[in-house]
Amino acid sequence: MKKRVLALLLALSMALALAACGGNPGAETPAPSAPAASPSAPASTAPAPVESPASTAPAAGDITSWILEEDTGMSGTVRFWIPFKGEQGMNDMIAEFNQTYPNIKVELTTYSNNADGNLSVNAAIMSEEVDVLASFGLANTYLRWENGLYQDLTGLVAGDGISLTDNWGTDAYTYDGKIYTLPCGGISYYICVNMDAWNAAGLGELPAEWTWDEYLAACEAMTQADAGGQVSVYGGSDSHSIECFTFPKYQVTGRDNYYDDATGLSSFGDPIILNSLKREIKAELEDKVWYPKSIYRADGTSGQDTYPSGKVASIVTNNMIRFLRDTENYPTDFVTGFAPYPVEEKGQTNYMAGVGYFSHAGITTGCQDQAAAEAFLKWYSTYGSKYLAVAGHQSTWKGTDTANIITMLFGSEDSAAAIVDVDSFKRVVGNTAAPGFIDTVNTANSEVASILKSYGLSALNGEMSPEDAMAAAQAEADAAIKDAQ
Amino acid sequence: MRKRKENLTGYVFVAPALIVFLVFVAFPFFFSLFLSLTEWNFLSGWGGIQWKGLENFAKLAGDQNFRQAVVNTVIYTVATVPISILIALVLAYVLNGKVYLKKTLRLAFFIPYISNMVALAAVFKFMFRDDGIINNVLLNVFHLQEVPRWLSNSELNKIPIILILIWTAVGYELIVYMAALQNVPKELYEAGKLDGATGFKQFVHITFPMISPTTFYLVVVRMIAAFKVFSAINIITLGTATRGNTSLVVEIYQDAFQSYKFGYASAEAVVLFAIILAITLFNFWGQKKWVHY
Repeated sequence: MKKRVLALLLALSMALALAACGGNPGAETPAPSAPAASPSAPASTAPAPVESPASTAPAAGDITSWILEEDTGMSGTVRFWIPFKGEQGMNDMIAEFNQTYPNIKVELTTYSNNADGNLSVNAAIMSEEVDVLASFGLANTYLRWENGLYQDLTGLVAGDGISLTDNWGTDAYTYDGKIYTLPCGGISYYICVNMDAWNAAGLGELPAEWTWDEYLAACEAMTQADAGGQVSVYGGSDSHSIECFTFPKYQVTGRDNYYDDATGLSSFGDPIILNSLKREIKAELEDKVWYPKSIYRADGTSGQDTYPSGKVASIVTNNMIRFLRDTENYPTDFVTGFAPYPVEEKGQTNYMAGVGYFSHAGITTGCQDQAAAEAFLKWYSTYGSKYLAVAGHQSTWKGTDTANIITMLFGSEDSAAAIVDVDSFKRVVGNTAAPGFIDTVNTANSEVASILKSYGLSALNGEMSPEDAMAAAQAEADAAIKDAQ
Repeated sequence: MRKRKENLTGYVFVAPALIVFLVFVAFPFFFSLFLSLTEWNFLSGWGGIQWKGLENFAKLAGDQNFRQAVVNTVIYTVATVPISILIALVLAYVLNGKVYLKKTLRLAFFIPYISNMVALAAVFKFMFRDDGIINNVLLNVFHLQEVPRWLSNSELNKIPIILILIWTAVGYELIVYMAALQNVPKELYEAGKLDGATGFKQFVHITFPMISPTTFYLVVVRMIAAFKVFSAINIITLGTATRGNTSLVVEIYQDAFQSYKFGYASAEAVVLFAIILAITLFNFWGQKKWVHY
């Protein structure tokens, strides 16, 4: 009840804030969602590994016998919130769920995975409007663990003998030694390559592994410019997100792009990140072989606006598949091949080659139908998680048949072949066999991310040198982390 | 007894307005004052409120973002209030005379004021895009080699924001000025004419003093509005997250609703309130020297 009052107060204060912020009384509407920044994160650190509780139920390695309830004829209603729309795989997921549980009605609500959207979700949980929630990003998830918005699933996990490691490959995602969510969703970074441009540049076979130098050389070969240097096709592009230049930290260490592994302070002084930023600035502003990120940011455009239209011949991405399969809105007249995320140096382990943990599902404390929610959560986080691929994400459940993902996305391998290079797709996209990255530290996450984006963009614009920008970002982020600690 | 009944009836009549005032104005105001002395994340419930005294205010003093937000807000205010009032005054003066399509022009200038700021900001953002109409003009008419990055450069970014604030303010100020101009007694102009005052002299010595209460009102109201600028910045800077273009209200919003630091954001709001109050009091003090009632 108290939380409901608070949620009401929050809604009131949001309305007042937005009303007060306007210039024209009566002519204002709330601003649309801002671009993505996570809510303030707690002053805490790495989730401690937790032992999978012993149980009488399934034997070690058994990842399916616990999933279905004894009575699949049970009835109920589940209010499921996730940032994906029905047509982005969620309708199909619910339809398949209803084949097993025909009497459980699943009500899907799609929310925006940005700061405003997540604020609305939190208010909705406090108003007891959400049963099962898929949180995207550790910062959002952690905030909900810390503030008791998710139910403690430790008992459920122990009772059913669910091994987190056997099922999802990690048992690291706990808070205060308790399990609140199941880490069933991930993302996979890869490079989409326009095979027409690739072949026209005479670049041969798509690589199974490559360095940044090799990738940028390929971008240079695919770039088309006139005699005056006016570029008509950029050979490559980073994802439109500012923070992507920190991802080589994931690639090299396998964890925590924003945080130093040893100190827990910010990683922005790390030579890997500084070199990555310098490399991006050189590629975009000096060599002009990459589409400038400052244009993405200023124009509010994304990779799906540049790659399918042929403005760029390749792109670092984690979700382009979602758009490539949407041939009505994003038609392409070329086949897309797939290459792995590049490494800093030859021979390094590439922790960006696999799937990184990204989304976490759990039952909220405002849940109204516990039995139905448990049945749905167990099904969604296992069998149902394969549908995340339709929206460009990946399942992290070990039982997911990744070989069939391409059929699910395109109908058949033959249909897929008209749009994507099937062999390289299978090799690169959502490769759960390859090493993946993991976020373990989350101290002052929203502030750290905001600082990084602000100074990163100043460097990418050419307003600050990369050294000055990262030094300033590190100083501010360290202060924020220490303050939160 | 009758007096008491009359009083009761009076209270019943004012009750709806009083309740609205108490719930939507008085309570948020005092709650915000209280929160500014605490640390609170609403997700943690009432029990999560921690008393911090003046700690939030002490932190504000050393907060670079807050300082930048104050500087930017002052820039937006100084750049928009005088210019918009001057433009509105000139336009009102012109439209007050004999002008072809007067009503249409008046409507055209007023429309931005009643339009949705979010939509207007989106249009401005489109115009100032890298490949927008502004840069196309610069490229094709002025033959610039390198076009400005209006939206991603933290300094240039202020220009579209200031322009949209001026553009939307002019419509309202124009209407207010036109009403004021029509109330200036004709006899004063006739008397001025007899004394040899025409054109500019009439404007300086008759028109401007007579409409000075209106000017004072507009200065106060527009300054308060400029200090609360939010929507235009939020839309135009969407995605371009540099610090150079933030404002006080944007900072308050982000700290409260994105970082969940309600205590700190409330402290920022209290400072904003104090700044606006101080400026308004200063304006009232200064008006004695130039406003003629």
